[in-house]
Amino acid sequence: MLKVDNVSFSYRTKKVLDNVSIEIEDGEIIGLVGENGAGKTTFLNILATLLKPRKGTITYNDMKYKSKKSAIRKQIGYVPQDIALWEDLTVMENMLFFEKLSWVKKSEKELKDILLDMQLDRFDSKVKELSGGMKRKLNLAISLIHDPSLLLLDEPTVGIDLKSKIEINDILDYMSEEENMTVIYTSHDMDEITQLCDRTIVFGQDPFYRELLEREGMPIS
Amino acid sequence: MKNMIDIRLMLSKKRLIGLFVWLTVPTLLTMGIFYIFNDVTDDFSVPVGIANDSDEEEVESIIQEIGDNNLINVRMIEADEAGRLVEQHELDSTFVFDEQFYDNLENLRRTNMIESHYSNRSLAYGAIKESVGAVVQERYGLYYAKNMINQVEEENDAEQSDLETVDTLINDLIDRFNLLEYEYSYYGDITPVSDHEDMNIFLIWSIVTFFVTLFIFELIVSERRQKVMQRLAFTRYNMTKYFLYQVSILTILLVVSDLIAWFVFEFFYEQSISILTVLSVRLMMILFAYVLAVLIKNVYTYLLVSLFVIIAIIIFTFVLNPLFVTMDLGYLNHLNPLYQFINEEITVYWSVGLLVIIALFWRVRHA
Repeated sequence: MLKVDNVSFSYRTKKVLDNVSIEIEDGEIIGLVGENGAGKTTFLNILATLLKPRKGTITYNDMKYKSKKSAIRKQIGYVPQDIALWEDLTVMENMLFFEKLSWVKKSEKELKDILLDMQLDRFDSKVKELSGGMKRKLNLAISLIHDPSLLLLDEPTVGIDLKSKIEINDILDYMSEEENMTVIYTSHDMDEITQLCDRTIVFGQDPFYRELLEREGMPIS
Repeated sequence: MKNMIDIRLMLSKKRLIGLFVWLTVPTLLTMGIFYIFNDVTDDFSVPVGIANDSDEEEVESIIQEIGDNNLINVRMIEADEAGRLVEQHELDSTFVFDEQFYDNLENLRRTNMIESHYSNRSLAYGAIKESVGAVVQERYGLYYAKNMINQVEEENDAEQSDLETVDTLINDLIDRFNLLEYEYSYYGDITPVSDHEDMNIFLIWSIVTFFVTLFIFELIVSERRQKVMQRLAFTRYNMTKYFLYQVSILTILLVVSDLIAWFVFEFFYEQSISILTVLSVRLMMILFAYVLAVLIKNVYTYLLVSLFVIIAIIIFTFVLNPLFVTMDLGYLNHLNPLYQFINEEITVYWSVGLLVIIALFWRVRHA
């Protein structure tokens, strides 16, 4: 379980998060929504241990973020908004690169299985030759190499075709349902949010997102 | 470490040949520069001034013979301008055959036969001195032999010399042929160059290899900028650890290349320096490149700064360092990171300074 208790964060004088509290059960899919600059990515980065909150506490499976950062990172799969891949390497080389850096050792077959789960079978194609959707899938696949239990994604489906978007959403749904993985992700796509997420957290002052989600009958935390 | 080597090979796949080419550049380029300075420059003649205050044909013939040497471009000058022309660096060196020269030669007075002038920029002085000396010595030998034969003939008239006396005379001649003496003079506080020496091959190598080290470390700067690096937080290696491993791999490659260079220069060029001195300058170069790579995030800025560093080192080494010595500001020479190495000392000051910078950098970053 992920517990966020009264977390606040500010960039110099600009307050971005103010006393955010939430409890997230294992296997839940949580959508973070809100206008640009509202604090979605900041919150995601705090959950990813990449930023320290100015105030408040976070625990994951009873491990405190403050004291167990390294142990928590082993549980986190982080998918950055950028395509964080080696463009000149092949799909498989990218997987091997991060497998060699990973805490968990995986065989080539296991790595291929992760890619096949993503419906990505162009193992020997260079990343720069792939479509945007395939790159996004590989971006996600790399985050799963070390078998994380908490998956944090920053706009994982931005700028890709509908088919790839559906495929990625199916994977996230599968991870949550079958692997009991907790999935937290940011998105501006409200259809995606309402279809995929169990709950949402709305950031910012704009009532637009809250009203829209309420109309759709989406639980908001 | 094996994983890191695999990763390095994976990332350098396309640049692997380039990397190995760069690693051989210091040795090969140094050999090339050394060849140009020490062999090709031999094809150029050295401007030398000769003043002839004697009216004798014999002296003119000696000067003619000196001028026959392809190495020497003889310019006839007046005796009173011999010093000034060297001082103004118009001529490499000057030689004065005064009016007493012929008289000295004929009467076998060896001392103070020729007056020569040179400065610390008379790079070819050693070779020119030998060439001029050889011609004069040969002529002196002839006069000496003639004198001796005359003496033997006179003695024969009185009493026949035995073989032992002739043998002694010949040995005496041989000994004396090698004892021609000069009076050398030079100007001001300038330290005279005693002999022309080969260019220091390790000096050239250190500059070239410094440049190559900075250039290879561009790899670190460009990789650090990659978006993919943000994933390192979720691996066994954080950014610092990852790059420390990568720097270690590059260091090993560079040290191997250094040892090959050292071996080549030591055994094929017979120029000697201790391995410890080479390794210490390598450590300094790695630390220098690391500091630059950490402080500069933009690849082009990094390359530009690297180029400025090398130009500054060249200026320091060849212009400012000799100047600082003459100005009694020798301590400023340590501004040159290669100064201790050039003086065949273990590079300490710059390495310690760079380590302090790295420590401060970490402290500030963690604060």
